[in-house]
Amino acid sequence: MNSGWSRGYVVLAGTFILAPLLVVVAVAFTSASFVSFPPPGWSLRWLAKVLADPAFMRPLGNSLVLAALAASGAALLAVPAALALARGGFRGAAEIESFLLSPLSLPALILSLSLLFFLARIGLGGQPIGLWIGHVVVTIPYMLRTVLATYRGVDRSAEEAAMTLGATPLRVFLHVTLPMIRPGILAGGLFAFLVSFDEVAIALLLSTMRTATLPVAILNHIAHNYDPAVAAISLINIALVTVAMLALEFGFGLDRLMLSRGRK
Amino acid sequence: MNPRGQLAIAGAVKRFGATAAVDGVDLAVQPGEFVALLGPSGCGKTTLLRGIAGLTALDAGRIALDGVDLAGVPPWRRGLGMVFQSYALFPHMTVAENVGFGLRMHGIGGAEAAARIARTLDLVRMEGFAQRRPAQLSGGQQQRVALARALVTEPPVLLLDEPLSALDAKLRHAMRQELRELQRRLGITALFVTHDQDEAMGLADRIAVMNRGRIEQIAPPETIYRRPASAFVAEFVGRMNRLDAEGRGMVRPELVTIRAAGEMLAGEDGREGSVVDGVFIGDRIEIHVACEGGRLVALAQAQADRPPPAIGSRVRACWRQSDVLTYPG
Repeated sequence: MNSGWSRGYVVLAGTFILAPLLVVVAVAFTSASFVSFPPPGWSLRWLAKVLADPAFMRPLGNSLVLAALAASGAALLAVPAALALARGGFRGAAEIESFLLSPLSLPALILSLSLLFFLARIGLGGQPIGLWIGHVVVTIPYMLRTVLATYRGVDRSAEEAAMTLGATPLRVFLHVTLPMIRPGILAGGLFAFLVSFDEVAIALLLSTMRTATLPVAILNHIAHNYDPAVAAISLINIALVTVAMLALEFGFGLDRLMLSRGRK
Repeated sequence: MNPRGQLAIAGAVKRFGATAAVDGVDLAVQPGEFVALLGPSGCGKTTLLRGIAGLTALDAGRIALDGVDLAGVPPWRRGLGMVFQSYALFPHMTVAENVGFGLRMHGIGGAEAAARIARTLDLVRMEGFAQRRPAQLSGGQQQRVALARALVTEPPVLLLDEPLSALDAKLRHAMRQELRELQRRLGITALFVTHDQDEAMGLADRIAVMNRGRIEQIAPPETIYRRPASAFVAEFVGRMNRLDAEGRGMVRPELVTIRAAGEMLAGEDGREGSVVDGVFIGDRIEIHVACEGGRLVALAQAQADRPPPAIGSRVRACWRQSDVLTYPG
């Protein structure tokens, strides 16, 4: 393998992925009142405008709250499911696992349409809780996969050892299982948070004026006006995600979370 | 000596689907006794041990600890110490926290817990490692910590599931000796599962040889070796020459003497054949003789002044008739 060629390939791929983002970042700092690249001059006016505009800030707050709630909901449902599936020993375990992972392979628009009809039918149409349910459904697979991978990689006789040492099942879970699968929960939570924060299709159909998320607000905005405010709010979006990733990287080591192998 | 720790098992049965992993086991272990459950993989020894610990529910039978029936008692209330093959340490806790876990679960904390943790770490010679994490320890050290963790609550019975088999040969030998001395010193009842006959021989007061879910023989190591109760035990423990294809008659290699062709003493039986191999193993020499009814192996003291018979030479492999073990086919 030629290291010169492979390095060139990496640079090319990196450029391909990052270049559009760099354009957005540049446009966010433009002094012009229209989108153009390269910008004719630099200013912070669009950033200042967006940060002061409740039409963006409220959806941003909605998105952050929704993402946190979706990740929590996914954890509450997927962690017990992952433990049961990994321990196995019951009929249909493989089918249930596939079912819980199925939102990954279902077209998002179909899923949101189904949710729209279903939630309206059970009286939750237009309710914030409906939006939350939708986001929990699409984030469960991420949480399930990382927790399953972590739990399948740890030595489960530690749980049995704890039991013989006098720990009831609840204390085994709190003192042994939970700490062992924590890397998986954190990684799954990060994925779930980002998936929810980014999610468009369900938010578009299930949110209201009051509960609109940031992607919905951005889409609404560019439907009517095409100005650098979109780039500015996108920059804030990118910055938040980057900060979250860096915090996880320095706090826990992203590599370890992604590989979900835990400490053995 | 520890007056507690009498274990009585009667009619234990555990089925997995159609096969019985444990198929009617009776076993009585006296306080302070060290019993090894020895058998090939799949013989049910680990299932039986897990049944005693309460980690596997038995389908039938009775297990009593010091006269108290353990039926329906969950593992966390049995108060038995258990050591696992994989060590099963808590990776997120320090050595001291691992050892102290059982105390914490029993509501013992503070100075008393600290003193008992320190004392138990001393016992397994791990006193300098209290603040380490399991990942920073070698396999042997991890198993010592696991042993300390199981002993710290002073359980009446210690259950050990192949605790040494993940260690390398040299360490395994040293740990075996240490474990034996520790068990004697504490006077704790120990039930030790292994597939390694040397380990069982070197550790146990009595060995229970298991096969297909049943105990074939339970006796002190010497009896198991010299008077195996079944053909299975005879062939599983130590080396054995079969005198016929079915294994009705057998004799140990060290009881076979190589004599010149045509020679034989009174009270002896023998077979003639040609020497196919002579393997020098330190203080002993192993001579393989190809006879009519199959190959016979003789194990003799290696003597510098008496060279072993040359390969290809005709000899007679002899044994005393009284040394032949016979079993109904």
